[in-house]
Amino acid sequence: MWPRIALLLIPLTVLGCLGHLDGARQALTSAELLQAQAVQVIKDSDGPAQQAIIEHAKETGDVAQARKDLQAYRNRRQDVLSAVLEASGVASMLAVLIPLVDAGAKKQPDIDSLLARLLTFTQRISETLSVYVENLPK
Amino acid sequence: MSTAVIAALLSLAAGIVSLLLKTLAARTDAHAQTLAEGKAALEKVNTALAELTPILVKNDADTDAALDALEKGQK
Repeated sequence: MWPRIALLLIPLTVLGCLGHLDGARQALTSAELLQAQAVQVIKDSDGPAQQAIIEHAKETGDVAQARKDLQAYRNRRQDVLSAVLEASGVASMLAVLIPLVDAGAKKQPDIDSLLARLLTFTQRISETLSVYVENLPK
Repeated sequence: MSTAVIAALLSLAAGIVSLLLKTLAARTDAHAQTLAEGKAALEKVNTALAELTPILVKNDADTDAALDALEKGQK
């Protein structure tokens, strides 16, 4: 009887493992959506933001202050892009690793540590993007 | 345990395993599709980043030139 029970348990265990991978896939998709959103926000806002700094400098005549504002703006922009790049690197590794775990060539803990890193970078994208949007020159 | 009971149990086990394998195959197909979508999304992000870089470089250069011109005009 026991071999038969074992025969039934093996597929059930495999299904259970696949359930864990679903979480990894969802995290990966969410991170990719956030990255795409961050890139689009910067693409749409960069020109108008820098133009706003120029217009303000024309009004006040304070070019030195405009250069400082510009540098601060570009630093905030770079913070977002750095977070996107870091997340993209981890996401690429996860995209490669998930099929390997599926095939049994790698173990779930390998994915879990990458997921933790992806979560960190995803949070960083959210934080830096919020700071970027809130401080856009107008 | 009679032969009929063993046969019934074996048949039941075979049915369950067959059902599980079908479910597994369906899930594998779904996972392959999800991975393909994930890969496409990743490539989309990388493409978007590659397209963004020249735009930012041009915006930066235009703004720097405008501020330089403004500064020269003041002197």
